[in-house]
Amino acid sequence: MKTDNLFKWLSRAVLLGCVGVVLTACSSSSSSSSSSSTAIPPPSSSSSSSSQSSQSSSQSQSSSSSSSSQSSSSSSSSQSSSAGSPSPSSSQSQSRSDSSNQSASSGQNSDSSSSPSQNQGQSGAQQSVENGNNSASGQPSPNGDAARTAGGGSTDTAADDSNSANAGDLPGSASRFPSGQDDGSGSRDTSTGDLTSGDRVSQNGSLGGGGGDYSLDTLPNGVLSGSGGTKSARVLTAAERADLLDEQLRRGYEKFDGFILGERERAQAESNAAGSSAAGGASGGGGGQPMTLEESAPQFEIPGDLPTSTSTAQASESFPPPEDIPTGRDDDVVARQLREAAMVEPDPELREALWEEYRNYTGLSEQ
Amino acid sequence: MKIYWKNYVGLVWVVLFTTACATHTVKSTSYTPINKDSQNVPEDLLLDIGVAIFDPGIDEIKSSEEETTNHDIRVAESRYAPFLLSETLQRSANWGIVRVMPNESSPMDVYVGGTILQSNGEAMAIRITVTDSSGREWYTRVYDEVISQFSYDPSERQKNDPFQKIYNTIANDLLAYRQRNLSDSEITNLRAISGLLFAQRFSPEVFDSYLSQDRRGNYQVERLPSADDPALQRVLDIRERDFMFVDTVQDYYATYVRQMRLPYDSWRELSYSETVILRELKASAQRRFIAGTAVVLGGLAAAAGGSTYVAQTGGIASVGAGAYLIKSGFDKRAEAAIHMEALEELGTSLENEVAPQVINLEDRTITLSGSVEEQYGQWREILADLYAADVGEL
Repeated sequence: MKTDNLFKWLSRAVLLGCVGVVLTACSSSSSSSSSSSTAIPPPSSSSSSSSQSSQSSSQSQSSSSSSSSQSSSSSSSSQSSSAGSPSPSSSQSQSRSDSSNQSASSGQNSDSSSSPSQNQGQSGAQQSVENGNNSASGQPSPNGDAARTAGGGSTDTAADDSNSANAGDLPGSASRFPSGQDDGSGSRDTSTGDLTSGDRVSQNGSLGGGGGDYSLDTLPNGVLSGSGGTKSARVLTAAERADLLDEQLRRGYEKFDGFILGERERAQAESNAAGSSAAGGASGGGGGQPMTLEESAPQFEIPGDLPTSTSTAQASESFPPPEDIPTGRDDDVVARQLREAAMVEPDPELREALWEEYRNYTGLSEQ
Repeated sequence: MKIYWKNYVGLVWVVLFTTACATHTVKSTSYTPINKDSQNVPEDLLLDIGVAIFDPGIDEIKSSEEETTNHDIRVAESRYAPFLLSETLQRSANWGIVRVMPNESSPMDVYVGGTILQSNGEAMAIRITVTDSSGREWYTRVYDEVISQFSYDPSERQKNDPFQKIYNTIANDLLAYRQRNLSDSEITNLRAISGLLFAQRFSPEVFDSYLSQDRRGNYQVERLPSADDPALQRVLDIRERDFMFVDTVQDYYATYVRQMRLPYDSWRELSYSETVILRELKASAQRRFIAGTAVVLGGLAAAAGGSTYVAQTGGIASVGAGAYLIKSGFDKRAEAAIHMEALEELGTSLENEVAPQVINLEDRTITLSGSVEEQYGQWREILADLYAADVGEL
């Protein structure tokens, strides 16, 4: 009996445990869905820093970082949770964008949505701002960012000041000045001296001593992820962008030239064929439709259905009419076509049949 | 008695004279050669000409020609004639490139537009309007020509179109106008305007400020871009491609004209004969109606007023002769109706032959234009991005 009760209790306990596991699993999945739903750009209120962090994180990162965005969103209530669960390197910019720099980020988020690299740059800039604020959470993390996520909740006045100071010019400057121009300018750091203070040292480790003066769209990609400043994904300068566009134009020229020259060859071949067939007395039908640019991928190809020179030569070969056939000056169109068909028909039997048809049609056989 | 006879004879003479005058037609067998500019014009002072597809002139067909005019043939001619005109202008060597334009989107230095007013194998009339790239109209003139059967002689036909004189006259007038009214600086100006109009089409944000319009809507050059302006170079590259596109369309038109030439010439020659016969029959019928009526009236007067038996008999005979004339007039009219039907049948036959070619030509041109325009759209976007990059908006 006791063993039965014990077994019952054990089974209930196991059942409860399962229910508990299921519930926790459900709760985690719901949190992930909520995090994705918060991916809408945040309202620009400087106080709701934690909720904005999840927004900016989801914007700046691809879907691969959804798990990290969960942690950042859940960190709105407790930073320790995010700090306790080190996020992967890809999520660092998300948590970094946690910064309370609302006035600046709100203006730049629209840019970041279109260009991920810019977004990273933005969060990176805010990181430098945040660094001054996050002394509370100042423990250096391997990625150098998990701790910063926590700092988003507690905004120092210095950070706010810097943000407000940058709010007016950051959006414009971010787009106007590419990374190459911003590197080492240091103007913002010097103007907002607080930005250089705090635990900057710990972050400079990840920035590679870059001084932290990156504008929102010029921070080298990968800096925030701790992979070092890779130049490959940095924002292009105007000259580089112009070069790229010129290259696009040039490719378009090549494609167009191939297409139009192919079409010209085709049209000229048809024109020549029409000329020779007209000389042979056949009016012929129209040519085919021109190819579109997409269809012309194998360029300079002449379609195989064009009349060949041999067929043209055959068409132009004519045979004199029989003696009883008049000049045909008064022929109507049908009679003329019969005459033309008979004159170019190489088979004698068919030719005679055509002439017989001509005689019947024109009434010569009745005379 | 004497007075009556005199009146009667006089009336007959008047009728004969009047009817004889009514059938007067002037036909030309002379050939007008193409004039060539005596001066050796530098290449950069040669104006490019765009010949637009002609207006078929369906709305302007006279009611008397409505029955014998086939609308589809007119439409076919409205593509045929511009090509012959462009070939004539090109042959004259007085101009730069001369092309039949598939649409109005490619600016040229000079535009030639036309409306076909008449075309029946015997006569042709075209109204030509010439404007330049600034929007100024040079002139509007009507060119008409009535040709003889000689123009359809095979030896003549191999050399020229039967109505080649019209095209040569248009080319000569165009040259004369240019020589009289355009200085070298004005020619340079027109070429600059057409180039800038093309540039505006692709990069309006860059080139809009280079041109302005006066009160009459004519374009004026405000300033010129630097020769080494990269934006200009890009547009010039694209313009080269646009010329290639227009050249391709010329090949379409060449094919079309070659395909149409034989049946169209046959139709014109037959139409010429029918038109001449028809006109003569109609005139003959009219003459007979007039003469018959006059003779009947004269006969009635002689019969009623004649005092002698001879006069009365003569009057009655005249009435009979007049009635016969009127009847023969009706016969001629019936014969004319047969020839009119023959003309309509000829038109239908040619229509069946050329209408598909016209449709094919239009389809090909539109398809090619669509593909090209799609590419142009992409280039416009790239040029806009380049402009934005240049001014630092990106």
